[in-house]
Amino acid sequence: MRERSERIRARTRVAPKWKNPPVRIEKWECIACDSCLRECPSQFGAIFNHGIDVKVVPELCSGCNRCIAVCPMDCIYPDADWKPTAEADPTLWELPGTGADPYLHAPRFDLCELEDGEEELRETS
Amino acid sequence: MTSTRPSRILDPQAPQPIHDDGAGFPATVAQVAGRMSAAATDTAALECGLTFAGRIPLWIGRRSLTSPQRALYAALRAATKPACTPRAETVVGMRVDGRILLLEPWAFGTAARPMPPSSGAQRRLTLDEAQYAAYEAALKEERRAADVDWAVVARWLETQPRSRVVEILDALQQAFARMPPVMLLVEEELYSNFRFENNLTGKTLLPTSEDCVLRQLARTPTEDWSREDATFVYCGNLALATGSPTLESFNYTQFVPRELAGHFRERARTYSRHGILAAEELPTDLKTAAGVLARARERALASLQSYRHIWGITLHKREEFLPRTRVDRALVELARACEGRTFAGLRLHADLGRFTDEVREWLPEVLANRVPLADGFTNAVEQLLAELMDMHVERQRADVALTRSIRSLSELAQAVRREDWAEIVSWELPAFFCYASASEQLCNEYAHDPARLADMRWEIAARMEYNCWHQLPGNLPRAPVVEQRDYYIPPWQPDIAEWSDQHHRGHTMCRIRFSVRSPMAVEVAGRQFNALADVRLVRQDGPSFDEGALTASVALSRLVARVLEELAAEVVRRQMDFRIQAFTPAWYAERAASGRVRPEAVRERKARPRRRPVPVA
Repeated sequence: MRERSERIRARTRVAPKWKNPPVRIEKWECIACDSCLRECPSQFGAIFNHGIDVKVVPELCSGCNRCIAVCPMDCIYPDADWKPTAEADPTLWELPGTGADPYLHAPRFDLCELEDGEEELRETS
Repeated sequence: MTSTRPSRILDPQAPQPIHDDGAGFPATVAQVAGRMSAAATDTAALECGLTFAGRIPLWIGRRSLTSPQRALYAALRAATKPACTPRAETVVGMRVDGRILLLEPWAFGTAARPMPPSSGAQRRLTLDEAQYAAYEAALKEERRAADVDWAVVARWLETQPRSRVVEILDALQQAFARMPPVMLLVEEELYSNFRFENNLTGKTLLPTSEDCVLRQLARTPTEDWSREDATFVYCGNLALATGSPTLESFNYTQFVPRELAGHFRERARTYSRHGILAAEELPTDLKTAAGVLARARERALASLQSYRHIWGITLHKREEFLPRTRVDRALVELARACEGRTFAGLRLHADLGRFTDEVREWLPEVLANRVPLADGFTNAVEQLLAELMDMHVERQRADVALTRSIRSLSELAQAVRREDWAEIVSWELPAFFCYASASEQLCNEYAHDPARLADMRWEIAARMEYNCWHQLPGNLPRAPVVEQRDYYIPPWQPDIAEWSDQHHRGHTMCRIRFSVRSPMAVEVAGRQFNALADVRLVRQDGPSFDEGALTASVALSRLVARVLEELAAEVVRRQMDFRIQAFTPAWYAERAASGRVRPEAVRERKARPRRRPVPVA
């Protein structure tokens, strides 16, 4: 799996294992509770506070959908028609990898393969 | 996976709500700009912008003006007739961030200057020779005053040892990181942790960010600081010294020494009105004055009921005081209105001692499940809170009344006794609850779409769960595990807010326009938890709430806090688990499906005139 920092540098989502589309947060339904941001595994680190909204950088989102499960408003949707951040919201790229990146000091999670072939995210540090 | 949205629990194919892009702050700013361009006079246009078309008082708007803007405003106000031969011109409008757009005038007929991003229409202003001369004279005076301010700041900065400067920057960073949004102006410079150009720590900008101006200043020799940055730090330091929530009292206004002095004088007059301080006792030296005000405030808090008035559109806040007897009287009125009635078997008393005795007799019945329950409740505490809010929403002619807290006081008590702060800060939103009661009038409005009403109640409740989550750690010792958590200092003062439906999308969607908050402390296992109880009122349309609604909410919040405190003590004594289980998304969905939103029929209510059509389907 490509490292997050590499994805930030390349600003691309290319990753063979990422079969699910990234998610998007519907801003008019979101209550800005940050539950999704806290749940987003730090090796993806795709969700950010941006102005008054909480937003997803689709290039960093693996589509693991953990955020969907914890959202109290059910306002996070898989987004097969996602647009590159540089096109949709270029200022969002100012956050990942900088001092404003909440994932830089968060616990790490990694995809671990289970005996039945399924994968599960586990905290590794 | 089951949805967390009531409408989708009822119907998994329920459509997304229709969003109203004509609501909220950007739409308001554009609308104000339109009204400015249509105003009868230039001064009326300017004042329309400064008051957001009557949504905030003019004195707040005037304090937002830069020195050249103040000069121009003075010249326009002094004009007795329309400009004849134009000497200079400028434009007036609204900037997208809500500040007034009013550029320094340029020679008539020459090219306009580059403008900051503006919203909606702009109005062209012309000044004749006399008006321009008045502007220049006023500008000279403004610049002289600004230079006096700067001399004070520069002198102060020169005398501060480096260690003290670092200490002040750290205190400011700590304060901004744990407080609601600020938007402070030093002339054209905006210092904010909110929405637009974030340069202060806050929810969006982490303290580790290089973009935090305080972080940058800590690494820059003071002699290299800009005039604006130095002024901001000087005023911030003095504001903190008053002990009051002064920083937020400057939201959207100029944060400069002369405005700070004006604010101090206004505070002194407020304390003087309540017999706390003779206004003439206020020293002219700002540092000494800050100390005098801090001591006066302590005396005021000890003898009066404080609250804050919040103008939501600019987040400007002002601390006010009331005689405590007003709250006592509200409690008497509440008890009298509820005479002969019980709430889940509990009687209300104006005397807190008697009420406590009543609660202590009631709780064993509750914990033994001997209190008869209405449908939808698993224990009498849930039903009590619901019935109290259902009563409050009607008595105060509100649209929504709500109360929030933690679901398991027993788990909280156990964690406190173990001093397990890591456990407490690990709890997520579902550890908290909120009951949001919709008025009969609101229920009628949504009779055609009860699922949307259930969604709205849940949206409000979920946001309140977040507030509980966000504030709880602020009651814990400053252990590293606590400090690593995102939290706000829990509020302890009630407030009245108006036009709160502008900045927060949840507020915009649910039309949380006017509100009253009355947070109350609850003692659990010997530790005080501020804002663990809270009673709130919401109106989606006018009029704004008054001090009567505030005191009634504070009175009711006292009773709710007392119930929670006694409940916490009792479950600790019995070493039993107790949990509020109602008020989940499924619970709100069930109420919508059954049509039984309330536990019992609503009593008397006077109709309040309303209102525009509901904007969301």
